[in-house]
Amino acid sequence: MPRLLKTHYSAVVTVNGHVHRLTVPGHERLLTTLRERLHLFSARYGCGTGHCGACVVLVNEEPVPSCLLLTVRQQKNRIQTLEGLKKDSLLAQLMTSFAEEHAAQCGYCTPGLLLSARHLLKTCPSATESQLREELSSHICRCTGYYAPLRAIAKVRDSYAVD
Amino acid sequence: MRWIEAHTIRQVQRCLSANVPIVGGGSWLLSDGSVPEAVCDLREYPWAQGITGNESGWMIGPDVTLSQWLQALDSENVIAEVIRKMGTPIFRRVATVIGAVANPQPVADLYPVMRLLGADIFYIDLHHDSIQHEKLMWPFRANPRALVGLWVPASTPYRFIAFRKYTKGRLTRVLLNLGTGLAQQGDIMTADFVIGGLSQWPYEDRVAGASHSISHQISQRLRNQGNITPFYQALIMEMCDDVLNQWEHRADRRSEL
Amino acid sequence: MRMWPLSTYPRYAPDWLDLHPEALIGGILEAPAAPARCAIDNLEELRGLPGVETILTASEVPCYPFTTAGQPEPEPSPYDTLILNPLSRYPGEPVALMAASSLDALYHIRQRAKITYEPWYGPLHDQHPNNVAEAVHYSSGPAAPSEADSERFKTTIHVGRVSHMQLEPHAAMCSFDEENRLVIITTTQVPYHVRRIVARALNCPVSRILVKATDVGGGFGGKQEVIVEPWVAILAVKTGKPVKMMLSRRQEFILTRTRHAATLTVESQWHGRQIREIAMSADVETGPYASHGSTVAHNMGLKSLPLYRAEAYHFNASVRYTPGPVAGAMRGYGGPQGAMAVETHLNQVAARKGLSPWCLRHKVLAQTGDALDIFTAASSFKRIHHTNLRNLLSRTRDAIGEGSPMATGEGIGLAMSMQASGVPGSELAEVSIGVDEDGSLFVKTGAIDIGQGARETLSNIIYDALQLPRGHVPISFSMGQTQDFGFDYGTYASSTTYVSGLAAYKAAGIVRRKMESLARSMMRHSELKDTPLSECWTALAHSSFYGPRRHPVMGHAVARPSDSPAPYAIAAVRLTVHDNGELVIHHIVIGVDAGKPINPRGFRGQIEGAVIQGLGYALWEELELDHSDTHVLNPSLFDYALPAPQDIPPLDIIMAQTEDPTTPLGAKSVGEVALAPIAPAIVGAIFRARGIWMRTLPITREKLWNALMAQRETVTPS
Repeated sequence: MPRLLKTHYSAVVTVNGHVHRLTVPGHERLLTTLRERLHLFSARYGCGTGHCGACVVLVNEEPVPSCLLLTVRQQKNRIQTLEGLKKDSLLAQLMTSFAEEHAAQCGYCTPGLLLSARHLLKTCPSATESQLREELSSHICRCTGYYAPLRAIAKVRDSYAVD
Repeated sequence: MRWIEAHTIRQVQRCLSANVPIVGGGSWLLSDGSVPEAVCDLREYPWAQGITGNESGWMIGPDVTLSQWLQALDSENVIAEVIRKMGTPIFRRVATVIGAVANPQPVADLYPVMRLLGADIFYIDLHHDSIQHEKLMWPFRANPRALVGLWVPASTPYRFIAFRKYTKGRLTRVLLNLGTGLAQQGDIMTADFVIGGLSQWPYEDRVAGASHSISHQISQRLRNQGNITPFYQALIMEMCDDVLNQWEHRADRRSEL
Repeated sequence: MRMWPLSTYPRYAPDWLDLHPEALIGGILEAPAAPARCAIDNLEELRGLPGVETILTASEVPCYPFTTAGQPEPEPSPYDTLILNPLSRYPGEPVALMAASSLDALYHIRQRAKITYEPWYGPLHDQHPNNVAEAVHYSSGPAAPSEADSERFKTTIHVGRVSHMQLEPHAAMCSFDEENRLVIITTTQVPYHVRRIVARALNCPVSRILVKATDVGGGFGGKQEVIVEPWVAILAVKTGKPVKMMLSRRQEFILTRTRHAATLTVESQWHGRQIREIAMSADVETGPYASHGSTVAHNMGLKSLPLYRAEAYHFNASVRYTPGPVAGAMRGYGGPQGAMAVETHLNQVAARKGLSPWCLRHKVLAQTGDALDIFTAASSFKRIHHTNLRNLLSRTRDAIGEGSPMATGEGIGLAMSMQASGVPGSELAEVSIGVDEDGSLFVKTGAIDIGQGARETLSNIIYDALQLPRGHVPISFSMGQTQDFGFDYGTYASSTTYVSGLAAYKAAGIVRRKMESLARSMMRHSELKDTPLSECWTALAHSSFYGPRRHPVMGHAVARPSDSPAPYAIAAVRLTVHDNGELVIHHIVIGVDAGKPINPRGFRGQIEGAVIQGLGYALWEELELDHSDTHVLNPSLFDYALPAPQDIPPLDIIMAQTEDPTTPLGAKSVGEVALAPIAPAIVGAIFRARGIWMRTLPITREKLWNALMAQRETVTPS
């Protein structure tokens, strides 16, 4: 079968507030772009099929699996990774709480968990235990059995609700 | 890989005749290293975009994700109940409704309820120069087509529609699902059901009679089907009884949908 | 606080791989069927494809047999594999290794490769015509005790294969340094075994290889195997260029390792409430390469039988080569299979005798001083039980609410397990601690923090040994960098706290004595006021570099304990089995005796994580094979069921307030012990709820429903 002519595309992607003009193959996933081109390592490969949540980033403030997104399709989107949220106070609280609760064992799934937890607490500050678990179901954490992350997030939610 | 954003019927037809895969929200067809020569993206096809809802029903464009539709629905709505049981939050934010309808596995979560609601699919094929539509139905015809819209009417002959599913783990592939539509006229109750997971395509049937006989009749029909394991039979009967039970508790309060 | 794993800086192997765009990308051409002799019919055509650097087949790579099991020499696992085996023994096994400039090029090779195969019907390994890799027989105690007044019981169980499903896939890169040594960056639990095993496979001296272990994104034993490293090494050697390789999730399921499937039978002979004789026989499926097969099989007996007092013990195992995926080390290492058999057996005996499982265990549990090494010759060192578990057993029983009223279909189950703290008699760890000029410490060790909290644990041990407040000065670690020394057998067998921790304790003691001696000499010369060490620590450190008595302080110590005390876990599960086969776990209580917790949050995390992996093993997880037991049917997360957050039951942990007498730290191990008792406790609870014994894992809803139906049909024949 003859190769079709155009295989690479110029893509303008906005990541963590920076505009990047890239030339990428049409099939390149956002996860690859973030890691190999922009060296943002908080998005991680776990399955490539959207089941494990290790590659989650925020697209227009919503956590989504970057392994299922094609880079050429992200022109209009605002992408944020954990690296770009260093100044976010809710994320900082969550990170402190994760550290205190030993909620990151190997740490591989943690950026995804943090982004989903932040999203839930932002959209639903008094999220119930079952909402919390539903949100975390996007992520596979093989180390903790989810206990410590759930404790860490609940702790932030409880203090957040008081504030 | 070449990226084709189709905006006209002719462009879509060219893709169809060249066997170019149509992508939905995610890119599952690219998983584990597979790279097609080209893909066709209909998410910006200028026919139906976004969710258009009015008193007569919903029109869902090819760009609408499961989570967008979920947010637009009343949480009591049976469609919302189905979508909430599909995948995880992050998955629902990238998977499109049209994608879930267009690429059904033998057991597809949206199919039974869409079928009961009498949903229409709008599509482009190689034989017509205009957008066609027909009732959603399994199996799809063999000739290729590209879905550009899903119409879900608001009016339904049923008083109550319910959905149940069975999976191995909480987040793994659906193995069995059941959509049931219940209607009642006087003392006669009608139950239409669509069951996925029993064979190559969903099993559809209707039973009618006095309400207390419905469960027994369904059980008879399943037995006549053959090849259904006792466990699946029990599972389906439990789902049916659960639905009927729920219906009885709700019937006196208000009519659904 | 455990903040560092939240860092987003490059620290995992896949991160380092992505930082090297110049490296070739390694890949494999997989065997489509097995056992079979596979051939690539269009090899020359493939080699000519754009971007392809090399494609290596079995005849083009070194043929020095080795084992992928990361264990010290003399290696107990047979050398039954090669970098590329001419006979493919499982589907997915590499037929060829390839390196190309891009993933797309690799994809095109895979697309165009014409791989043909001739099925193989002979034994998997010529040396083992019956496909039996090893047969094990152990016996102790009086032979054939009298049978006159005794009762006999027998239990058979089957456990399936499960996958480690560590989130980070296996990934490694091999490049060259200025001395032309091979530098292997890899995610591993055993950096020194990687070095030695790669050297063996390539037939080169270990000094030609440097291993740089990265942070590990989950191990659970899966990274105690040397899988990808020899492949990238040979590709780098052949191309003369850096080569990197990361496995996909599908490959993780089909060509890494699994927990051993096994069928186990336990028979016992009783005199009243005493065990005369208990015998286990295990039929262990190790896959087509033995890997850890024989040692895992040993541990099925050795980690389960010694919990109970018997006059005689017998253990037989047959480790069989089988088609399908290769089994290997996995958290529990034989313990989960052994516990499933022995604990289910005891629960059955209790039921037959009309005793509660608690009461029976009170009678037969080993006492302090009883032998742990039940099969070891009397002349050699014998480990013993150091604690009496009866108090912990009672506390666990009270916490689960045994004796309180039960609803219909509700039941409580009990099971126990034990583990070791390192491989008994086969451990070595070396730790060096230096004091830097600002008083901070640098620690070199071959142990790895695979998520269990090794850094915090070792830090706490060092602070305590230095008698400095915890966190008083920063500690930085070099873990698993073979060029930095710090030899270690590796992070497995729950050994880090007990073994590497002991080396850290000793090394810190040396540092403390040197710092005290420096302080004394400075005080003699009035360069320092008489203050506690913690207050003058920084000044001392500075003067060890720049003062008149300058002599940088370093401590180096080795631990090679002969003992390996057993940690214990007692699991109690309360659940309901509904008529439809649905199982709802209400509460799990786990009593743990692992000595003194040094890093309490990490300790708790290890127990919680192990309990949930045990729950997955019991209820959902199974790597399913096709009818010929060869192809994996569910190599994706869409089909391999794992516990989800919504499935997590309330868990209470009860700690035995003990300190282990064999180590100055008082700590045993906690990494694995809590996994094994979960499945048998659930089995026991299902029996007490419904009167049926589920003897095959995982206990799916379908299996449970079938068992309930079978019971109903037996009870009320129609």
